[in-house]
Amino acid sequence: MIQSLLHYVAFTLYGGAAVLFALNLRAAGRRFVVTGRALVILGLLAHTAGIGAHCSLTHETPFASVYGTLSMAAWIVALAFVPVEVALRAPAIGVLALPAACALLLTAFMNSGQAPAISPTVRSVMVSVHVLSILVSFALFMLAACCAVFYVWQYRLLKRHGRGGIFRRLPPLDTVDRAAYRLVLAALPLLTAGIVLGAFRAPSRAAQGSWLVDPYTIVSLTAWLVYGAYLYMRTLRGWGGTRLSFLLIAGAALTVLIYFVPSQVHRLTF
Amino acid sequence: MSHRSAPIELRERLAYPDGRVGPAARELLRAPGIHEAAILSTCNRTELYAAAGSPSAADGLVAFLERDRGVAALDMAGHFYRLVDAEAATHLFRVACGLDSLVLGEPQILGQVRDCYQRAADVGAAGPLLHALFRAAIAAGKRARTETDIGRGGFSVGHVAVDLARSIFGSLRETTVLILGAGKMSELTARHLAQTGVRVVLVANRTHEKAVALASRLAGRAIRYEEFPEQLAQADIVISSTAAPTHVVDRAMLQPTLRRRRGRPLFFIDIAVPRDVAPDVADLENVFLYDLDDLQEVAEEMARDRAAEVGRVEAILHQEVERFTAWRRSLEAVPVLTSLKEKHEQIRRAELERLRRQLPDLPEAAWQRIELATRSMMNSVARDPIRRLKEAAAGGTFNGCDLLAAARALFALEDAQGPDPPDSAPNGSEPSGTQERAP
Repeated sequence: MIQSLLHYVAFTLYGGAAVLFALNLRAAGRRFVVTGRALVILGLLAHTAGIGAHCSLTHETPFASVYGTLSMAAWIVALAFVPVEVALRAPAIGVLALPAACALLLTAFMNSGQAPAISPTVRSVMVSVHVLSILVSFALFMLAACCAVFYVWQYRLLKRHGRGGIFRRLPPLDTVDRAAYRLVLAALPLLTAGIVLGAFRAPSRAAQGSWLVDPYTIVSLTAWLVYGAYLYMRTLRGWGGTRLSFLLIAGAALTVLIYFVPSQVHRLTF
Repeated sequence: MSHRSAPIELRERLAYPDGRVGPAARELLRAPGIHEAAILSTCNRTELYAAAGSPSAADGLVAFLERDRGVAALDMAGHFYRLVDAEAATHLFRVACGLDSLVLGEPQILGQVRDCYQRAADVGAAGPLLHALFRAAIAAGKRARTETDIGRGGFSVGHVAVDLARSIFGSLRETTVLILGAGKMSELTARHLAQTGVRVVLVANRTHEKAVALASRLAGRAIRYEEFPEQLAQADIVISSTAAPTHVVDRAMLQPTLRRRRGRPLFFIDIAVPRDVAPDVADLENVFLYDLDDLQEVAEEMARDRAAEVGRVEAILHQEVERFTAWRRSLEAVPVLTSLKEKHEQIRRAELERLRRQLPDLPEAAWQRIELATRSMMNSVARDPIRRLKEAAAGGTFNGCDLLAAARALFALEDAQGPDPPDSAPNGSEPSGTQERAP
């Protein structure tokens, strides 16, 4: 009960912050930004307490249920948003990042009824690290995609000679471009580590299906290729502009699939 | 007087040179009834702010201007505005917020108000009232600029260029600016960009000597005109204003350069007529091209955005004026509170003296205790009335009653008449006693 309440509070606070950041885009107001930041911090506190309550009640790691895993995914997105927003001074990113966290929480609520018997293998530290690495990398990819959306938006506004005036409140092109690059640079090693750890665990789950054709594996490996290609083209081929931004957006859309596709190998139960 | 009330010919004659503002404010204190003074003099306004014992002292300000600037009163007649108390405060707040400026929200005025206050304070012409007034006005100006878009750029082509460059590059500290053509317009635009701390300024002109001269003025580096296509690979912002009859930059020139730029954006500010940069350059990826019409259009759009912010600025202004006015009114309680405290103290001392005569053998330690106890008692008795009087003064009345008048009558404080803070505090010094803190 208490965990659900705390999660609902976090959901509401993230949503409220997103609305305030959106209002700041419409008409600059320092109060919107300051209040929005405060709501995010309060939301994170409630969310952390909610995850803690969940673990305490179930005596399991958060990754032992779909509910806990999705809640953790949302928590990581919101947590990663804070330093990115502070570093870039771009509250606008919250307009996309926080609704993404809310969407993950909403999906978690929809899966909150499941309480299956947990396979003992799910409780291993290696599985937790494997899931955590992948979740953090996906959260960072999501933030990179948010930066990419703002890049494309700003790019088009500036190409259209700044009609509408909103270009002054969007983050600068170069800033979001560099931020997206750094986020991918930080996320790809984590995704690699997550995939490698998963590969170590694969033989023990082989009986439940071939892990190579498992949707999670396919999504993760494809995401790795997409972001690897992004880094290659940006650093070695000197690409820039909207083409790479669309690649980042496509990559994030791909990673979102992992939360919805069914998997035989990545089951929590026996 | 300001651009709203006086023609430029008169404003020119009344404008004060920088070095004269402080001394003139000091001299203004010699005018009858003037206790504090400050002079705000810009190209658009000459305004005298004074704390005086009565509104009639304003006549002395006109006489001072007539004498000091050598302008006949007849020439000035009809071009003045005379504002008193809250109206004067509101006006200064509007000025500081940029609402009274020729170009709405322009940023210089806040600095000019700050300078005006600083100069008056430096020569001791600003006293407690003007200290509080100017500090509150500067705070209102800052709030207006941080909480609304009233000061967000677009005041000129140069400002728009800086705004656009910031939207592309963020900080301009790592950018390189290339100037094509050493004309006045490119210099003006480049100056705006140079003030933001760009890394390198390169100047190319067909007459190399002119490029060298402009580069030295902008602390940049002159390059040969023939070298500029090569330098496009390094430049981030190109300001072009040559007198060439045809395009000096086209797609064919840029395409190999763009490959070498590895995706970095390139921002062209083409302020030449006829245009220096071929329009189809704008279709190239990562190239942003703005000609004079585009910049003008952005400036007009920004001006419309700023005009839409006036309501929000007025709301801030209203809050700040209210705060200042409440503080100003709270000063009215000072003489009453001082008299009340003095009267209480006199009563206490008189009673203690009487008691000493009746109990001559009481030890000194006991007297000290009695002293403390009576002092504490008097403070306790006075605490609530004092708080209520302060609130009543700040709010004007208390439940519709004039509590200050009531207190004067109840406690027979006939000497504690209405305030004249400038009289009660020396110029340039903070008031003593029960003086309220400035907002």
